[in-house]
Amino acid sequence: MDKKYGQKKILVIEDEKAMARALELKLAHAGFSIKSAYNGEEGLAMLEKEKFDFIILDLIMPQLDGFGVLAEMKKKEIKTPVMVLSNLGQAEDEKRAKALGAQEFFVKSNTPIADIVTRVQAILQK
Amino acid sequence: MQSAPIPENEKERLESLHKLALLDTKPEERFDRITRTAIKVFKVPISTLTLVDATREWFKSCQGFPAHEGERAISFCGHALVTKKDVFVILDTTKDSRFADNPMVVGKPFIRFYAGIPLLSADGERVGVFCIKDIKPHNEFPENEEEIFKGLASWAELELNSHNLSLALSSRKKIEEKYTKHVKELEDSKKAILNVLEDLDVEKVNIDAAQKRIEVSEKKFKSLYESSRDAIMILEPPTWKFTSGNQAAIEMFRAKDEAEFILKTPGQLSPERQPDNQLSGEKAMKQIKMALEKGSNFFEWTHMKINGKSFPATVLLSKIEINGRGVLQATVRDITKEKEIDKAKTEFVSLASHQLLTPLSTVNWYTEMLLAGDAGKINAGQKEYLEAVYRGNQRMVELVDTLLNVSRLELGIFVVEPEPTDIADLAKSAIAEQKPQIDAKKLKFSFHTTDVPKINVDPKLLHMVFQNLLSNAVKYTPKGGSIEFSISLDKKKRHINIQVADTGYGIPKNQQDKIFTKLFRADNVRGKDTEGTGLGLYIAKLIMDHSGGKIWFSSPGGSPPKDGQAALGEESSENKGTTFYVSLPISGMQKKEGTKALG
Repeated sequence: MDKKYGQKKILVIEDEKAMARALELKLAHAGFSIKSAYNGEEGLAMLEKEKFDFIILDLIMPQLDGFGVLAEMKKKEIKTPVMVLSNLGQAEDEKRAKALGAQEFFVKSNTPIADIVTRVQAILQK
Repeated sequence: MQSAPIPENEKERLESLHKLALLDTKPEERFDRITRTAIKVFKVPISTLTLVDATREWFKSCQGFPAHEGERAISFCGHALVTKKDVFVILDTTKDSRFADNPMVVGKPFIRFYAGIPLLSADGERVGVFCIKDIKPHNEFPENEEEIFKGLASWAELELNSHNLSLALSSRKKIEEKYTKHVKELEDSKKAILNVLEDLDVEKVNIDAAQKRIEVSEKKFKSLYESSRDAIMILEPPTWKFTSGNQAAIEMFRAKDEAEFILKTPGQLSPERQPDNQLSGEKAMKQIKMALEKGSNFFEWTHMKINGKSFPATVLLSKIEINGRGVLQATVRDITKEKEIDKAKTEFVSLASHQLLTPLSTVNWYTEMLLAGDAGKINAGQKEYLEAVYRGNQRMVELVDTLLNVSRLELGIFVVEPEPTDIADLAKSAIAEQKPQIDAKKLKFSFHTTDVPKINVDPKLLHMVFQNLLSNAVKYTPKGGSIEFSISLDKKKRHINIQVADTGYGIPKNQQDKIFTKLFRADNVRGKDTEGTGLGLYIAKLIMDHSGGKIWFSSPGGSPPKDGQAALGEESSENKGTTFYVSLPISGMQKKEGTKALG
């Protein structure tokens, strides 16, 4: 457990439960506190209830997808840094996500989970 | 002395006389015969056949008289000419006051007796006189002698007029000839006219046939025009409004009839703006202008029905001539269905890829975590198995990605976003990605580039091409081999040429034509332990085709042959290696709109 980072809270919004679980495990291993939501609406509800230091956001989800969440966050001026994880890696998706305020964009199938964790650490270290 | 009187009809008389054309002609036997007979019969010394001219008497035939003419005024024949009697007789000239002092009486030839009978022309004019003269007076001129004299005069008259007759005959002959000539000329003219008429007839038949052909072709066109399911309309200058539309056009635009349809501009049958945000009216004029310049223009367009509903369409504008005027024919096809199908296809592919990638990503991550020891330390055996699982999974991910790209390429819906790119830098980054494998296989890698300018290419797409060529070169070259990557400008400085040459297994001659096809792997490398989708070169070729460049291959050292094929006779023979060539025009890639990027 890496106490250097304290207990930073990360919200994972991902409808594929196995993947959410993998992220939970890996990030907890790196010393973060993780909560998961399995669709956009659930995620927004949790964002309103408590403050998070980081959000890992899937794009394709039922009941409000990743873009919807970003739009809502923008409207509500929730400034938590967001890393978007996409399945498909479309350039237009990346553009759109970043235009809506996402800081990072990764393709799940291309990105080893360890790299994701490294990136999160790098951002939260600042 | 009394001068010979001039008769009243002197003018006509002279005309008739001259018509005879006897004056001043040579003596003729037929006339001399008569005057000779006269002197014999009447036992006189002189007999003449006189023609009485305006101021003279002229002898056509003359016996016993030295001269051939004399003065009319003092002539006896001049008197005889106008006699009212049958025969003009002077028994003794000295006893006649008219002639007593006539020079021919008191002087040579001393005429004492005269008898003359007027001679008539065929016209009935007294043209001359037949006479006998004596130097002795006569007591009488008995009746029987008068008869004989009249007979001789008749004879003379006949001869006179037969000349006329023969003249008339010959002139008649001449007239006949002239007539015949004229008739022939008329005949010829007639023939010529008939020929012309014939030609006109033939012309008419031709015109009729051509007319028929036009009618048939008009019917054909009309039937095509009317029955076509594509909307066909005509736009006419200068306003370029629609002036006609077929049934399909009327239905496509939901007009009540042609009248409602025509006299609208393309802008009026479109929404205010096109998908690229240009004003429809302005953009339509641009398309029209291009069609007029190039002769035709094919493009996508968003139209609007009269009821306000928009729909996507393809438009073909063609310049045609109707009655000598240049107009535009528009063929419009409603592609709503095609677009929907395309959209459905794209969505399906996206969805399928997404669905496939999700479990693949899951397997990836968990395998990674296991390998990282997150669930506990693993032994060497477990590591080996897990790594095999991981690699297998990676391949599947690659395959799904590739399938997605292929479908986007085939649908033509991918985006090309050219930007000024340093080709060498792009190549270097692709090469860097291969570094681990290059090192692992101990391959000798060399990179050459000459000074090439930046060109407008979509870096992502070109990166994919380089990546593919490099990974192939690395995959298919055995340990210790070498790969050379070079970039250069061609002689004419119009193309950038890239070469990837390896000393690998090469491509068997009989498989070379399949190299760029889908899912193809040559037999000679299938056995080697390699991964890959078999789609890399297919994708590379599609990208190069779409971007105006070329890709081909050959044996090392061979000259670059036609696109996609090895030079005849120079094949990439096994184990002699392969060189792939890529050529890009200096003008770079064309920007292409699409709905998806390749990734």
